[in-house]
Amino acid sequence: MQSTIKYQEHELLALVRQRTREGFNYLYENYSGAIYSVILTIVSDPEQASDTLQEVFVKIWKQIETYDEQKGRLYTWMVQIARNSSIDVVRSKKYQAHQQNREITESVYKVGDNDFNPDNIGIRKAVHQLKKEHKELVDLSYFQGYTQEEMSEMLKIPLGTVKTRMRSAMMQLRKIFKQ
Amino acid sequence: MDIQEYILSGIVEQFVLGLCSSEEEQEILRLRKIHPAINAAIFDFELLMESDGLANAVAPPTAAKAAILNKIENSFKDNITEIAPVQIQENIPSIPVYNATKNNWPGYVAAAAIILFIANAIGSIVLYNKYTSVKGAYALLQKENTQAKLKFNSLYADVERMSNKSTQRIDMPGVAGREESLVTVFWNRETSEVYLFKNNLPTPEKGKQYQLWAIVDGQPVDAGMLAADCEGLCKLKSIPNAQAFAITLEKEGGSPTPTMSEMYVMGTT
Repeated sequence: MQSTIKYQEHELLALVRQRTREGFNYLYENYSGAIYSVILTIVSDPEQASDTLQEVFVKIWKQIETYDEQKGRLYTWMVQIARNSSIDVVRSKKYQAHQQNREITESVYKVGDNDFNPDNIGIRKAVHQLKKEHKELVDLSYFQGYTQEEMSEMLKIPLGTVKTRMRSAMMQLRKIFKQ
Repeated sequence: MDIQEYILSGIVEQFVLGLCSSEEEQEILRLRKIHPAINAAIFDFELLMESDGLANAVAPPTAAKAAILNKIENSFKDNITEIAPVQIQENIPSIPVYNATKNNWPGYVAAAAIILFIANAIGSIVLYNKYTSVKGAYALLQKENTQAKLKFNSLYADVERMSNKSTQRIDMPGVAGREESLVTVFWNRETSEVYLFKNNLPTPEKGKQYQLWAIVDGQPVDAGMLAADCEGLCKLKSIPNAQAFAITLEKEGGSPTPTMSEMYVMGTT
């Protein structure tokens, strides 16, 4: 629908907060693709990713009251919900069992040519260009949800080093995004 | 604290991506309120991520939207009454205070200062009143602008629905004795959605409401109530299959079966 007039963020927010159909449709038409892409960087199985997208949009719709404009843009908030939900899905036993089955099936039957590669989309593409030591940390924290303390323990490096590396990884990321 | 150094330290990106520890988050939330530069840096990176995200969008499977709608269908409120006005930043200029300094003409200077102060205070009050009225007018315009956009978009969606290739238009003229009445139903045979346009129907008396019926194999099936305040195309219950549609006037909230003597319009599919 190219002919619809764009709403500004505060207008869209008012429409969503008042639970209008127009608000939902606009939100979905404009953001579902970006949100789905964020989910796909974490939940690589398209079917599970689609289920996650549904869960995320229902959450966004039901929890819009908890969104606080003072803390950031609507998009940032939605992406955080998408990321957290995706990490929860990937960590679930059900998903892991499903993935194992899929890998076996795919290695045996070679189901089609799957040219979908999460390294080619969105933030993964940027992270892919980082140095190994930086990539590792962003991968563990952003895509897998580990805290700085957990990473320090897992990688056997001091917490201070984790913090410094994270910060310089972030500076690199900003440069890549600005290109 | 060196603000520029803090901004460039990577903390802003970490915060936006949601990778801060809770202490770091508390700190940056506190600092952004004091330092506009930090706030601006956060906003910039959020916009950068947003435009990157939108540029890298991947279309989700088409079934996903219907599945979500299915889960939230009951939460919709279609008649919005109020569009929240925009928050306008309160940047009221402060009144400058004139300090009389010691010199050879303290009396004159003091008098001049008092006069200036009073003049300035009056000026500020006038300006402040103007500011308040402009602010009010601005908020009203914003609200009207949103409502206009909303109306335009809803009309556009209506036109799309009516011209959809799966949509069948069913004219429902008034029955004998009620020839003035006219209603048009737009029925999407693929999605089963039923939309209705009130061309002409008398305003129902208090406690009464119009009810739409789908005639399926000779039996009337409730197809929903007509909301009194519905403008443009009104969405009613989805009907997968029907040979005809009819509208009767019933008690508010509807009846399980139609009152045949109160039928206003009817049309076959």
